Amino acid sequence: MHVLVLRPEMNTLHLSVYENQKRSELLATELVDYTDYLEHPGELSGWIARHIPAQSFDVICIRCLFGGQMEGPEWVTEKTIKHLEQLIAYSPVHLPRVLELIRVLQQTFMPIPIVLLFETAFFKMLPEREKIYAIEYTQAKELGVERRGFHGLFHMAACGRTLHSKEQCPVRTSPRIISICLEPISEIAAFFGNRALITSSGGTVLEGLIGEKSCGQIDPGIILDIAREIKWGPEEISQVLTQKSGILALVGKAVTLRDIFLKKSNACKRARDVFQYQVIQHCGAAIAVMGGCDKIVFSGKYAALGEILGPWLLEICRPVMRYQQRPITYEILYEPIDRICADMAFSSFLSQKKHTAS
Amino acid sequence: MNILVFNSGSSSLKYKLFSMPEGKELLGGEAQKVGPAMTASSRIVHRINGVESIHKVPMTNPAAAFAEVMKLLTAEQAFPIDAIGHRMVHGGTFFTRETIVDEAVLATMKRIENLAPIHNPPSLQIVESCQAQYRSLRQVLVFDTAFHSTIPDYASCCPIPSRICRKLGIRKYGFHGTSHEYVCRQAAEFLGVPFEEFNAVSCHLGSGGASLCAVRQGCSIDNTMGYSPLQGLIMSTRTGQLDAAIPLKLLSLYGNDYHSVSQFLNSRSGILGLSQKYSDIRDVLAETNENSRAVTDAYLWRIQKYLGSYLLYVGDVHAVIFTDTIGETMASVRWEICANLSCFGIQVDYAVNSGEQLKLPADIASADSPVRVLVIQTDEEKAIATKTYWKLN
Repeated sequence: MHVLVLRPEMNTLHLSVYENQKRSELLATELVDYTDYLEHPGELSGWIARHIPAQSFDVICIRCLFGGQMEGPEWVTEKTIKHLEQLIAYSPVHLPRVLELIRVLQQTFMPIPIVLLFETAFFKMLPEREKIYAIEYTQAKELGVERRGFHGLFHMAACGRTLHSKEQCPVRTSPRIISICLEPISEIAAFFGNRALITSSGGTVLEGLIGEKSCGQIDPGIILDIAREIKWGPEEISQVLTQKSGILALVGKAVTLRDIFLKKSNACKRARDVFQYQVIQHCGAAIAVMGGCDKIVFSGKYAALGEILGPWLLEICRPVMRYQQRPITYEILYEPIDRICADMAFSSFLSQKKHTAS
Repeated sequence: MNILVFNSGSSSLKYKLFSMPEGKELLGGEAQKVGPAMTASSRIVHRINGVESIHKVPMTNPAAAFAEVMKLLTAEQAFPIDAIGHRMVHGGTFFTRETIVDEAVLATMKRIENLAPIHNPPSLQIVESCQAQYRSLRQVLVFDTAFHSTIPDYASCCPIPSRICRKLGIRKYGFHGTSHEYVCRQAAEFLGVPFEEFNAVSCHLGSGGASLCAVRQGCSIDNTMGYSPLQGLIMSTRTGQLDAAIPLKLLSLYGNDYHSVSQFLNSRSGILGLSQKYSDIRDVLAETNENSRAVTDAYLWRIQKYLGSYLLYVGDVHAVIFTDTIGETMASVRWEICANLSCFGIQVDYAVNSGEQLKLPADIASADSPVRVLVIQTDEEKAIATKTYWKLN
């Protein structure tokens, strides 16, 4: 069985085909500036058909950044499409593209079923006290900003692996997991009792860990002073904070999260120190709300950095291990996001097939 | 040596006179409802030898309040005043220690007034009045931000373009430093730990502002407030930490009017914003409805998260310290915050913590708790008097 995985991002559409039981993708390609093609559906379907032969997959899977309260995997029906249309106000850029993509795929590859996976599903049960910001309720609703995560699929795969692991502590039925997703904008989540309890991310990328180009958490007083003293408007400020800040601002040039751990310059060291300090902050918060920790799992594009961060973090957590009288271990999930999506799609397809057969 | 300490707010002026170096409080009081709109009800509540007296005098601004207080003290002739110590909320990067006032210091303070636009200007008015009217009296400025000057670069820097940081002096300054340092010194002494070896997390939980401070080897290494007092915990009317998209969206909504947005985030948010009724968490805690529970949950959750962050960051902690109005008086708050923290070596004794007559300083940790949990009464004025004394001697 084969899955075509589509990952629509800002400007680029990533496509890959995976076969069940095989680790590496059979095929991977990308279409830059795909949003231009969305205005010409015939051209998009033509491009896909040229690069991905229709006979090469049985299921199509789309990774969605936002799904409201939808859990996923969600097999696309008319009802699904209507539901997504109602959510457009919350994700005014991404969701219309997903809907257009669904239309193009249905026209081109009918009757191949399409399944949606949502990054937000993992955070569906985030406690209210974690989600809300301390502003007037009516204003909060109007602004439509509440704390949520962005890398739910990685966290889901990471926590799922731990939950099903044979090495899991036999005494504890519900392990306390810190899931660290290392990406251009990284994210840390606490998972306990079958739900996410905290996320380092905010309602947007303007909260959380320092990113490759984004500032992450920033004192709101700074925003006001920039507006007052430099006289920039909100769009200009947002542009600088999301595209010209973070590791880029500290190092002075565009480098990746991996680079700051491998390069020896003072600027990279400074950025690394900031990142690690923030990791400690969020891990400490996670341990406090879970009452301890059993496992730390690394995932994401830069999951391999877990080989450096894992031992370092265990050393930091030594007092916690002493007081809780139980060790903390770490694990690394090396799978890329497309493989994770493919696995979820396979699993859902087989489970659905089983359900239909019974 | 008698040192008079002034602690100026936006509409009040607290004062205390101490005999140093003993630290004995000789008299004290507060000028209340200072300001043009409140002149009719302005008054000085004065305390000496345990007796309180009320003096109704119009006070249209901090300088007028200062003049009336000095008139009262001079008329009383109870104690001579040898020097004055002033609480200054913000010293920027220019003042990292207590500083004797001279013309150059005054000029610099005027330049950086806007770093704390609500607190610094009234304090400065009093310093200037004193310079003008009592030239022979030496004055010392004691800064809330000074204790936090040891916060390392990785915790204090702001990852935005450096030209913006340089232009606006953007970095984490931290606040309540005088209080945090004072209670940490008291805690170290209480536990018999030399201050330069003392590791702690200090929780200054006031009915207005609040902050946590991470202390390692007697030095501040982090504070939940940041560049401004807006960052960090959920406070009475301030948001604390939030996604920067919110002030940006508010700026769009309010047509780039940063004053209105600042008002919204500083004066209409926090506990008041969430409850739509009360700005004091004690009033919210007294109610039992669903909304009040949700507000309390959010308030406590934020403190617990930051406490966990700092406990992991500091490492081998000697003590967690609770101080200021809420920290000193609300046993339920202390209990809820510390619940579930045995993984950090913290166990609170329920009976001791809830004791009606908790005599401060108190250790409310259970006997087998590796980390002590202390409740210590803060006294910023005494701390300022102590720093002023040692600066002048």
